Amino acid sequence: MLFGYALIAGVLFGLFYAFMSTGLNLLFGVLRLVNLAHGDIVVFGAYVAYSLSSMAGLNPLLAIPITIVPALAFGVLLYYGTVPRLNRSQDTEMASLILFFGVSQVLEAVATFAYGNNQASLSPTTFGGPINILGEHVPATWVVCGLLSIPALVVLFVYLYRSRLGMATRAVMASREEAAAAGINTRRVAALAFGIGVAFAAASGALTIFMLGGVNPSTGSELVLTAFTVVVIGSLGNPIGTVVGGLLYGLVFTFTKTYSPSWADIVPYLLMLVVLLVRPTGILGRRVRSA
Amino acid sequence: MSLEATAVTSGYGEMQVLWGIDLSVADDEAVVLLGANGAGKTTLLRTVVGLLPLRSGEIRFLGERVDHLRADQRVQRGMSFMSETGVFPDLSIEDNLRLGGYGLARPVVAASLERTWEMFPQLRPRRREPAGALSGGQRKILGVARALVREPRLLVMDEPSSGLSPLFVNELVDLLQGVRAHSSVTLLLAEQNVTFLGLADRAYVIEGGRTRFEGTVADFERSADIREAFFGLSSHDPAP
Repeated sequence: MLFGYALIAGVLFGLFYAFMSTGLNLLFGVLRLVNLAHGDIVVFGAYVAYSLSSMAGLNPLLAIPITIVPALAFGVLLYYGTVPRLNRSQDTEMASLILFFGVSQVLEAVATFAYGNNQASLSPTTFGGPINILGEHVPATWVVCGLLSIPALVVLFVYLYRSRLGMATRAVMASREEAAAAGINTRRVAALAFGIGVAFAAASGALTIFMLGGVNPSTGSELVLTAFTVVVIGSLGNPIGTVVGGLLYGLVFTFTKTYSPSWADIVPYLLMLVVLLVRPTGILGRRVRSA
Repeated sequence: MSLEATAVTSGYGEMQVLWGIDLSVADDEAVVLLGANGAGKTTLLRTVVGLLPLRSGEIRFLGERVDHLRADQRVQRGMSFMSETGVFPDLSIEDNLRLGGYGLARPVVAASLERTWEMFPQLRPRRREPAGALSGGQRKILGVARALVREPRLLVMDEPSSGLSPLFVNELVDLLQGVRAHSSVTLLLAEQNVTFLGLADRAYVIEGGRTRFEGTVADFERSADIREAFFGLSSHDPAP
């Protein structure tokens, strides 16, 4: 049953893609900046998982709790070290693209130093043999990683929709100026969002090494493209859109992979093009009544 | 004195907009800034609340210098600003109101929200809807309600009448009259619509980033040349 397999794999991959991409969207939503180093941060998390498992013999998923705090701190520091300066430049968007491209290159070089250019991968049976879901035998790693993405996304939504700082974050996403006028310290909120975005990227790395079958230092540049596609399909700056975009991307990817594998690397991008042409704000992009 | 701005200059990038404006608003007073589009009203208000940096001069709020403070710090000290948009269209009505009390203790926000629902019962059943789903007039009402959640000492409003039908303008003026009658909020608003003179004690007319007129509303109505030059009101028209 190819169809059932593609469907189950699509949902699992979709959840993973949503988790892997959500930090990029949070960062874009709050700062209107595209973090080109996003993919490299994901790969960094993947290498932490790889090291834990292959060198220390520990469970690679321990990388998630281990990376979160340092990644958050790195994100906050990166924010304070760069963004206020970028905002003073003549062309903030361009300057930020170049700057984050530079950060991406540095991280990639560091990864090459530390791990070489070879593919780093972990055993696909790390979490046991294939799991039977509705008669389909799905690799346990996909099931574990797909399902682990759910609590990660739930945590982000609870933060955004149930906490005061989350509400302030959504306010800054909607209008930085209006948020400042509401008494919100927008810089602090943005720094925290930056940290959370980076932490989510790093945390998703432990899953990435299983979902992609392995990583190498240049995987980051592919991942940032994937994440950007997911985010644009859903809706730039809308966190719920990332989940929709991730699931769609995952399903389209696994279905083309199943039925016409040679198209699998193109079709998701075609989907993005169609979405951009038909609904430039993304599938969940909202239009505001102007009267 | 609630607000005292002296020799304010400000602008955007290379473009200087304000050229040394003095502005004062006494406690419990209502002051209207009048002027055409591009006169500098919005720039002045944005500089007062801290959304634009002051280039020279000084701004005092409740007797203390505030020009070195960020906008959010000025808000926490008792200023409230309602921009021309006035709301976060993407966020729910309730979130908009909660943001109005951002930084206040939870029970204070809860009590304030309860008061707001009583004052504007039409908003309550729609609390989960995005503010952008409201009509222009209702959005202004939500904007006023949001600005009042923290019980500000000074409420600064930028063109509250923009995009409103004359009927709604009158309703809004009535609403603000009511607010003034029930609380001791000081008002500073920028307007093109002279209807708002009805609730003001004093008026400023701003032109080209400079003060062209300053005085009581009665003075304004007596100065025929200003009325005619700026608002096309001849001396035979009834007082606005």
